[in-house]
Amino acid sequence: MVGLATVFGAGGGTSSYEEVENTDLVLLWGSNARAAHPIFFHHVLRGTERGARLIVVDPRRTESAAFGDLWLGIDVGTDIALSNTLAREIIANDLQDHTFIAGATENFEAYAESVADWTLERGAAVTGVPPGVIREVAHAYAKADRAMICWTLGITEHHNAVDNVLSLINLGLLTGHVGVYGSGLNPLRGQNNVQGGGDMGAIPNKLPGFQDIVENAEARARFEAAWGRPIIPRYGWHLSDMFEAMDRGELTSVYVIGENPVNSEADAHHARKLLENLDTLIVQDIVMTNTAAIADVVFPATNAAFESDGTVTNSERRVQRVRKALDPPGEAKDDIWIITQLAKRLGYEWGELSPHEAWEELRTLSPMHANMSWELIEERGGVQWPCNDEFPDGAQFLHARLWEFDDPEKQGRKAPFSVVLDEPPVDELTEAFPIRLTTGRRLDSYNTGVQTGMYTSPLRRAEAVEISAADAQELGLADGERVLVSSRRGEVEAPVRISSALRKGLAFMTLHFPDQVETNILTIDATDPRSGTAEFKATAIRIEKLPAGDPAPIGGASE
Amino acid sequence: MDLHLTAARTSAEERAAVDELLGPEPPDRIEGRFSRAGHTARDQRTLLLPALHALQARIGWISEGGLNYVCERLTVPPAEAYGVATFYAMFSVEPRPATVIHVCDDLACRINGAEELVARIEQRDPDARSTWVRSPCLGQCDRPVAVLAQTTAGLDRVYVHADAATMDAAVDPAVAATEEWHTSFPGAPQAGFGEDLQLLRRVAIVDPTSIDDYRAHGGYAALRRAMELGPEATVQEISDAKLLGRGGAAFPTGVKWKAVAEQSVHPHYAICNADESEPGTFKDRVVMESDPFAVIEALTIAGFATGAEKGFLYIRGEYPLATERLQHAIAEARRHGFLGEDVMERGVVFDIELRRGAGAYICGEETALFNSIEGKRGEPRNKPPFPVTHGVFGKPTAINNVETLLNVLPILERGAQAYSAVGTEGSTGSRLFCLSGHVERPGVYEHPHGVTLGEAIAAAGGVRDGKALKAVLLGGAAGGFVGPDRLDARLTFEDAREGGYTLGSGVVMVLDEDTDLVDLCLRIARFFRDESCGQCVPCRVGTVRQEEALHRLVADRPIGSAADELALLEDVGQVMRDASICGLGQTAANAVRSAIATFGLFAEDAS
Repeated sequence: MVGLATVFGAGGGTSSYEEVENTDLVLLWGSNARAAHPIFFHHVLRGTERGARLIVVDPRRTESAAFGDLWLGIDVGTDIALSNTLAREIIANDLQDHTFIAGATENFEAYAESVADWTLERGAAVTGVPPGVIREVAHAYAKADRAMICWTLGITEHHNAVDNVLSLINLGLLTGHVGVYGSGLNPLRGQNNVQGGGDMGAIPNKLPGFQDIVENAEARARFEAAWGRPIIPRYGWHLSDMFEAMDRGELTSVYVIGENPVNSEADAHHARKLLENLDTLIVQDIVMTNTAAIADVVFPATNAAFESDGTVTNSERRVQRVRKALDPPGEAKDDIWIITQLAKRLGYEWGELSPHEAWEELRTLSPMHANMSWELIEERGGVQWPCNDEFPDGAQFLHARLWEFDDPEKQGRKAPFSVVLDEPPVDELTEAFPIRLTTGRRLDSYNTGVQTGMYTSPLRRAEAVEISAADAQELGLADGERVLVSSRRGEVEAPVRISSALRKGLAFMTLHFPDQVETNILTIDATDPRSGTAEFKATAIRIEKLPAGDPAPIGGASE
Repeated sequence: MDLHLTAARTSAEERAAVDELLGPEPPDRIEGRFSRAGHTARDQRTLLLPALHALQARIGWISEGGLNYVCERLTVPPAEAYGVATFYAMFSVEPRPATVIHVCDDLACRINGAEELVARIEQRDPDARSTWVRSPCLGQCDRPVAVLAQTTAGLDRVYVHADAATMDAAVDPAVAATEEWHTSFPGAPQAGFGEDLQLLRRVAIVDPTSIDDYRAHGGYAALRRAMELGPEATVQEISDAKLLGRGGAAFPTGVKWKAVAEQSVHPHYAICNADESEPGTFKDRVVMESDPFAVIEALTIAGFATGAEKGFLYIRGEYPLATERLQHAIAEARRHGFLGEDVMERGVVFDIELRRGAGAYICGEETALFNSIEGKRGEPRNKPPFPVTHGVFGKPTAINNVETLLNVLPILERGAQAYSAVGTEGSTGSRLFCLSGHVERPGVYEHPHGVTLGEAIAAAGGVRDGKALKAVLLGGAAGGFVGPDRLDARLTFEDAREGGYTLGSGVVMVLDEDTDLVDLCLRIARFFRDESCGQCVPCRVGTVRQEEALHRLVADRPIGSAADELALLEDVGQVMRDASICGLGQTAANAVRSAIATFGLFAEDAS
């Protein structure tokens, strides 16, 4: 979101699902959407059925890659190298969109210069992908009439996440594949309402509706008038900042709503220690997570899917209604009720606020939601923001304004190219830690398993560290044998599974089953300061065969 | 494609068999740096059936590991591939001995001693190298009893006039390797005689393996004429000749070709339907074995006339000799420039791919045949849309039966007018009839349209052994029984329509006074129950109910009364006729119904 907001002013994917079905080329980058975004992937499949080419960039030959016309198995963390090489190849062959660059962008010269020495050969040497294949992708993307880049955590779970995103946006700007039907730049959301959380201001630097809390004084005044309180023009902390602040002793009380940081944070040992040391830890959740287990106060909340009313916003910015179908069990209460009651105890009487009232307030404060009544949402089966006087029906895709070359007022701020440098992952591969571990999701499980662990699945298999057949042979390992996986931060024991999706030197684990294998003991909390996302995707590990019948201590620290 | 393959491994032998067809596995995929799948791989789905054939032929069954490898190469989900593998009778997903003898116990073989042979086989000592199964009609009705030896030792083989000794030969690899099973009686008693023969004129005269001999006997004159006329005039010539499809539907071929030629969507396809599986039918086989180049030439003309650059010839799996001859003919035609990038050096592009079925009657239904070519289960599609707009791979397709295509040659060689001078006003040209059963000289006969049933039987020497005629099965299992009172019925499309009988695929199975019609009805009911693809309910359930009711009647254990059972048969038949999506279900009750109506079967029980 940070990258998109930086360049375009709005932190949302630019395209609609319908466009994915009608595009000519989908570049799926750092995303195993088949497993992690199955709904979106159905739209991709419909697109490929209609003839769109699918190109997948991923270190692993994932399920998504197996659907692709072409798969590029880059080395972990070489996304910028690949993107810069693609850009250089496009410019060297004069395939960039001159009209769009001249009319709608800034900073092209500096960008072009920064990629000038990224020859195919250099790109191939860094990424591991043959030069001819990189060339093929560059030409396919640049020449496509419609093309979109879609990405997920393979791009953003890196220490240089924002640069990764900016490098992909550069490609869109270079070729004019943004702001027109069927072309776009789309981060895929891992949940039905990640986008909605951002829309509603659950990010540290924006008020609801992506209004900057520091720069936008007019918005601040509007909120102050509505809420009767001063809004402090200061950016808040994102998740990683918070943990750093806990480490410094500056943050002593934390209110966690619907998160399980004990299991989901990188370097889990450290995270747990920090949370345990807090003065006050409040957890609001629908189940007793491992974080709730160490909390001072637990608020049992209702399930957002069917025990409460409200809205969610999906990856294509479509706001949809959610309706209550069941009464919550026991003492579980609606999130709004809990928050208003908490306010009451703190001395503020907000009354019995209904979800609809909260929404109506949002419409008066967030210009991009101004015309989006619940009635309209119901009537249309969802509306894509922005929906206001300028876009009374909502907007199918964003940034068409950039193409208004002749009307500076309509066009607004031009989109700047960003100079981004290739930086290898923080956790270096050495002789002691020679294997690159990357993490990800499986189709039937979700994050730390809090929500999916309750259900059985015919697809689910116990957690294992997946390795290539070549590594298995070298380490003398058979499928299912237990190994000790160590990183610079800790070690875990797990069975190995030989996977044809991996090449030599690459390993894969998920974080779905923290009670079986606490993967995040291994991962590094190197974080992009701008987005606050840790480098879950690149850990240096060592794998050792365990002697039979000699279980190693699970989760013991090694350094 | 996300393929959830099981852990079963592929053997080197299986891998080699598949790689022989698909080429070696691309190395880049193994290195783990890039791979190609997507459209390229999915487009190969059409190779699923050939790949399954490759596995089956190499090791005698399709193992889980073998199936996994095929799925991986073609990016086909294993469940779907398994669905396809189990659709066809000639494939086994369980281990089987190297040789499987398919013993035909269908109508013509049945009345010529098939059950006696089966009884003898059952007495044989069990043998680890072979096993046997009952088979529906193998298309060798002129020389019963027929058996097909499906084997891992090279080509499958057909044995005719089979007896117990044949079985020993069939399972012995040493015999199999040396024996000259190819040199078979042509099965066309008129061959070499009648001067007016159009469709059979080269049968037993020309060397079926020699393109030179074919050309010496007038071959490729029709294609030359078509090229001179151009596509539009060629289609016009076919229309003027009033050629009607010989596959059963009697649709005007010229109309079909014109419709395909006019489609703006490309590519177009031309298909020869050689999945001749109607019990009692063997005419296409005789021509394909004896004059294969004629089929290739005719399909080439169809492709040229309809704007297709690719043709498929889909032949049933039980015709190994015809398959071999046609494959040879295609290769020879290609080598001599009659197929390929520049046909007859006129810049015309057309090539033919032969596809072998694997034992499924339903694949003779044109849309089921498309699905089979595409690598799917051979289940018929709903119509409309019709093949002329949405055929194989969803593209405009001209699909014609072998005999229909054969007629194209004399039409072009002699002109529409001369062609249509033969036959009747409504049924131009001549027609192939499959004479079998209790007839003196069984075989394929060519008669001008208008010949009567009695004349056709007389031409084959009449009822065998001087016995009296009881009935004739006309048109095959999907046709119906007629009595001796219909001997003067004229065998034309218009007469059949008016008289309420069907010519179907030209089956004329003669049944003498001693024939057990009830037994034949049971066999027909079993045939349809076995061959129903199971996709639509009326046919899937109806064919079972029909067979059950017949068995109860035969055993004299009706539910309610015999009259109730006959009423049930009538009802079930009507539902199948009204509500099945394809011809199989629509005709599955015809023969039984006609036997009951014409010969009063079970009438005593019901009265």
